[in-house]
Amino acid sequence: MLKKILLILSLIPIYAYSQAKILIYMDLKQTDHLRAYGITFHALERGEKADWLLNYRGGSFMLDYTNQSANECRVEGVAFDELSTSQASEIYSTVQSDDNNMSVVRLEKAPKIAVYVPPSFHPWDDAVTLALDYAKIPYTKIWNDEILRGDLSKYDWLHLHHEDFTGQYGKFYASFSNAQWYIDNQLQYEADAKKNGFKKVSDMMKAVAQDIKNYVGNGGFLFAMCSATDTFDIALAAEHTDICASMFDGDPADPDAQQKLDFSNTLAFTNFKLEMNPYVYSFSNINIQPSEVGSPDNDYFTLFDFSAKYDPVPCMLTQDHVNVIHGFMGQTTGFHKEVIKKSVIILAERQGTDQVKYIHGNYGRGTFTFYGGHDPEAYQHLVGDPPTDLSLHKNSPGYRLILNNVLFPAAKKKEQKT
Amino acid sequence: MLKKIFAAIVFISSFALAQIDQSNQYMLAQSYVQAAMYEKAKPILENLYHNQPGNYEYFRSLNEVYTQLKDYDASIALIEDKLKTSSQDINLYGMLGSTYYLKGNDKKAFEVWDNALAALPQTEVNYRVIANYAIERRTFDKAIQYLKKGQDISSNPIYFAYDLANLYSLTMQFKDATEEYCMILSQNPNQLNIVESKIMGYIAKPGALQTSLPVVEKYSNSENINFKFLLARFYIEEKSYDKAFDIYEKIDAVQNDQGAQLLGFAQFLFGDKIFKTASDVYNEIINKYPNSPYTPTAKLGLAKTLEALFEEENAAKIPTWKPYYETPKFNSEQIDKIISAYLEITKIYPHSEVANEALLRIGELKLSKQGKISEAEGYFNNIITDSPLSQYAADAYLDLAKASILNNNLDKAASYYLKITTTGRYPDDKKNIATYRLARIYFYKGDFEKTKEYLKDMLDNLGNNSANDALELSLLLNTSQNDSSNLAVFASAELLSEQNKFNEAYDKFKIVTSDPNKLMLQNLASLREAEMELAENNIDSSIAHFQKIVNDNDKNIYADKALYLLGQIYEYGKNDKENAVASYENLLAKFPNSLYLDQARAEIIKLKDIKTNRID
Repeated sequence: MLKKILLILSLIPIYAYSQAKILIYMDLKQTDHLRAYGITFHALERGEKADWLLNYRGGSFMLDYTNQSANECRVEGVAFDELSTSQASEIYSTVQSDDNNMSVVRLEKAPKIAVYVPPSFHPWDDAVTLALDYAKIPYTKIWNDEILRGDLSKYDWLHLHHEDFTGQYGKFYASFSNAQWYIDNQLQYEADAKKNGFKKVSDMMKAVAQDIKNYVGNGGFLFAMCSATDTFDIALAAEHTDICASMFDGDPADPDAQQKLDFSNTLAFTNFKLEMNPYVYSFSNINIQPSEVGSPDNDYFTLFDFSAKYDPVPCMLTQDHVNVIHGFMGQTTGFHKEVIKKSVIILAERQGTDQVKYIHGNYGRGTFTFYGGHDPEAYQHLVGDPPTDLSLHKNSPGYRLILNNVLFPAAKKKEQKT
Repeated sequence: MLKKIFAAIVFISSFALAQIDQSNQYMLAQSYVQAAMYEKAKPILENLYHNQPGNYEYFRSLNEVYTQLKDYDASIALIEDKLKTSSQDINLYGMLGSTYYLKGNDKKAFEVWDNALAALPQTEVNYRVIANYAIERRTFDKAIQYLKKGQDISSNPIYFAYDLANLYSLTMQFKDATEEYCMILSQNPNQLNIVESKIMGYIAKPGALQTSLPVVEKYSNSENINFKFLLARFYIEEKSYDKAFDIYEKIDAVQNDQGAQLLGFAQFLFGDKIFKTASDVYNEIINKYPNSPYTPTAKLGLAKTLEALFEEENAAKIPTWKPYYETPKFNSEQIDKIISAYLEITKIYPHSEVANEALLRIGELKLSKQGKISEAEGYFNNIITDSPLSQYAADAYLDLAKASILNNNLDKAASYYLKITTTGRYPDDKKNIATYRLARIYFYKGDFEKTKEYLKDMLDNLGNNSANDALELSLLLNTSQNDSSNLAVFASAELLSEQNKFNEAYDKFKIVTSDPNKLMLQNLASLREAEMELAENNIDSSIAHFQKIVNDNDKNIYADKALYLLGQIYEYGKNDKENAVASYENLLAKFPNSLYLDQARAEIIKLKDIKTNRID
């Protein structure tokens, strides 16, 4: 009997210290922050459990220990700790303590991701597809045809990037109207519009924008960057008017277009003023102009601090290992605070200015997040520049914000307390 | 009389003032237009046009304002009014149709354009004007229709062909576009470069090559040699290099170019690493045009191509994944063929840099592929004797030293290395290699103090490429120098392994490993033992040996390298992917700070065929 008791007692510590969990810590010690999201995503795909420890060591991930996940971390160069049950319990206890601004969010299933990407060649890159590719997170490319035939309902998360929903082909006319890619691009859009029964590209893009808005209203998660943010709202506001000059849609813009904008139709912005000059590379006064940004050396934006327990959604979206991040330009670099609707949550801004970088809001049963700028690791990513090699930016805090959005739809829905 | 003069002055003055006033009014209206204030420009222009209905500028500006304000009915009324006095003006019909199109009445627009072309004289200009209006409205199919009709009535079909071809390519009707360009080329052979560049602008688009190629093939049957050039270019795009070769042969023969066209083609193929066809083309030039001025260049190209082909074919035979290996047996006949090709170059261009490069290549082939050390030395000596200032001289010295080590003549090897380090003009990277090699020579000889001196020179500049090797050797010396007898045995074993005497080296390494007190030296010797077994293709015993090092784990500082090499053996030596992956994964798990981490990751990703998983 004594022998049995001794045997049982000797087994207890073995159980207590066996590998039960994997902690992918996301603070400055992490070797590859971006691939950490991919590892977590893959664990969810396999039906494994994953917890997002908000504000714990930079927003860490806790996975059930499996050889597959551990090996994947090693292969992908993602730093992690193997934890025993008691060690994991200790961390959970710290995170859930009322004394700490931390919280646990259970991630339930890998979201189905769609990225709105044109089928033709574009001489610029999309930061989100770069991030997804680097993190090895699967996604599907969709375009106008798929949206107009109602395929959006198949996806949990939709990403928009540099596309122009106003039908003005990015307002590249002054600089690139003779470039072959611009000519091909316009022809492709026109053919697409014709195929889908629209006489004008701008009409088709308005319909696409409306379908995307409906998708959000029905519970979809929308994430947009760069010019997809403001042009999306402009297209929604311009539902009943023509804002395109003749070089874009063949006929002149409505002279009263500004007055005919319907701001009740938009998601994030209101009372903005259109830039009607077709030769000016800007859509409206939503965007921050380069002259307002000033020196790149001083261009930093600050993430707001949210309560992990009471505001988990904005807290998830702002998880990062630093809270001051170097800015980056884009056709739409950021947003003027004065044109942002009051219902929208500001997630990051340039302190001491009216320049907002990152916003989030709800519409219907879904949510939208807009992030200004083109590429977090290429300050001024110009047309024709080579794509950013993310293996050189494994710890990019700017790219982490994109990937927060990818995992955010995986979170178990929880009542917001504030 | 005075009254008449006075009246005339008043009349002229008031007329002039009226003119000035109208001009100012027009300028004001234009300013409003430029500022997109069309509502303000409208009454001014209406007034001006009312006063001077014959002024075409006022008419044009007013029509622009109407269309900008989307007042299409006013525009139609204005143009129709103008047509009453200028019914033969094709531009007015173009504008009228355009306004109908903007209004959304496509049918009426086309009717206006069609009727105008039917009623007015059948001239090229009329068709072009209406086609331009159709292009402006981006109704490309209608524009093509007008341009084709214009082409039918024109005495010069090329007049419309470029525009037609451009519209066809824009609308992705690539076959028709190519047909137009070929028609241009058939009429005007001087247009080859323009036509080729236009076609190449769209040929990479989906379906363009497949639909366009039959068109060019059809035209290439004609006497016009330019179609053969175009066809060859198409075959290159299609990667049908043999067909392109055939075409260039014909072009060369027809133009009596003595291989010039073929040479250009061969150089392109070499650049794109299509070595087999490149060698065929070079051979063709050499055989068919032996006295051509292009033949020497072709011979050099052939020699390089043959060597590239040889390397490509034999790449799999060389086990570069092993730390040490014996050079496999190669087909000597094949190598001789390459050597004779290089030899011919040395005769054509004696004492030139091209000849020096050829001599170096011959020497290296003899040394590394045929094991003919003394013959190789002869070629290297040719370079350093006849062309000591050549850019290939330092390489020749390095190769000569290598040959001397194989001949076990360490003093001679040292003298060659010294020559490099003491000659100012040789590049620094060669000097660094030579300095490190000198340190190793003295290491082999057991002169560890001298070895340290050379290593110190190296370690003073850690930026050079040999610094890591120097550091490793330095570490070995510092930790093992108090046991110089074992170190000397180890050094002699290292020399034997460099001379490919793996069995003898193994025996010496074993002596060192039998002394368990010398940790660093014993660890390295143990690893070397396993590597010698691997070099001798004793795969299973090398696996056991490496595994033992891995099992020693904390005791052997080379355990991570042993684990990596185990992965390599399973992957390449045993073709056992599962165990290879397990070894690499074990390496990642056990040695998270190993130098071999990135390589192990890359191998796992390759073996597991891990991709981005993009769904589309």
